[in-house]
Amino acid sequence: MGADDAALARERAALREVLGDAAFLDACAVIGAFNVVDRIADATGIPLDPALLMMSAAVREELDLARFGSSANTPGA
Amino acid sequence: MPPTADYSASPVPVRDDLREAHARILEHLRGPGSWFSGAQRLAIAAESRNAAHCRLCRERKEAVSPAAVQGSHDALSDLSDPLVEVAHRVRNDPARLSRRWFEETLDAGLSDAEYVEAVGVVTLLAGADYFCRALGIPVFRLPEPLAGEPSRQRPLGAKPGEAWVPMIALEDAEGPEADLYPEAPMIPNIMRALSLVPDHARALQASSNAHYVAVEAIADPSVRRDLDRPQMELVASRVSALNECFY
Repeated sequence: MGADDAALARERAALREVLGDAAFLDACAVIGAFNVVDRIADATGIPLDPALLMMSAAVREELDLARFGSSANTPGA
Repeated sequence: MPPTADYSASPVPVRDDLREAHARILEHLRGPGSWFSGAQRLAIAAESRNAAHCRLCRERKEAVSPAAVQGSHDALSDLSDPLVEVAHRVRNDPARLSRRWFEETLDAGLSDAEYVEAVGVVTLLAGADYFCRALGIPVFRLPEPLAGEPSRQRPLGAKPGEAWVPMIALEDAEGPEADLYPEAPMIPNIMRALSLVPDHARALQASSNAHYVAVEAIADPSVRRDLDRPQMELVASRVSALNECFY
């Protein structure tokens, strides 16, 4: 998210304006959730789930996610 | 007195399941675990927050390879060096962890189960902290530790496999771990990743249920909150891209 408090405050206000308070809160919660699971995945070297790989293979290729160094830690990548 | 999280600065109402999840995380972190006391777990948690102010971490972040920069972390605590390394690196630079780093960390004096316990402490707290940052409120104050000794119980069902750390497969979740995974069309590996410390796996599941979607519903694209599932996945994907997480 970066360290620019003023920019973050502007983005929060803009997001609340568009989504409303409850959906803004959901977005904050998802941000929290994926800062957990990303770190766990990177720190444990878990393999990609076959179902997840099947669903996301095309998107992964299109976005060139293999450029991330963490792909080397993910069996099945 | 159970720990409570302070939302008084929140610009929006915080739903009850998130409040319960945060209270549960704080309670979980302050109690004795499988291998560390409550005081040690909170020291790991505080050390992970301290990583933001560590000179070595800052220099490593700027380097092409973190291994190119040697030195000592600016540590808050008297935790062992490998524990400080795990607390700082997993919090601050997770995308550039490697199997070699993991093996060197264990060679420096951590067991695989201690490693998983430390990773769970660091990551569960990171999630709460990033939630607070997104919402625009101060991070939750760490609670006082609970007394007690770690259980020193290694789950019999945990077995080595493709991951760096042993995990409990669905078919091996028996005895004290029989409740570990819910009935669901799919239990993703991420929900098994901390199962060498079963209470961490339970805490991760409870946290994920409140912050994202219930584990039982992960395979259901129609599940929604006030955000619909595609919107949730868009946020999740953006976070993971910023974190450079391939998984």
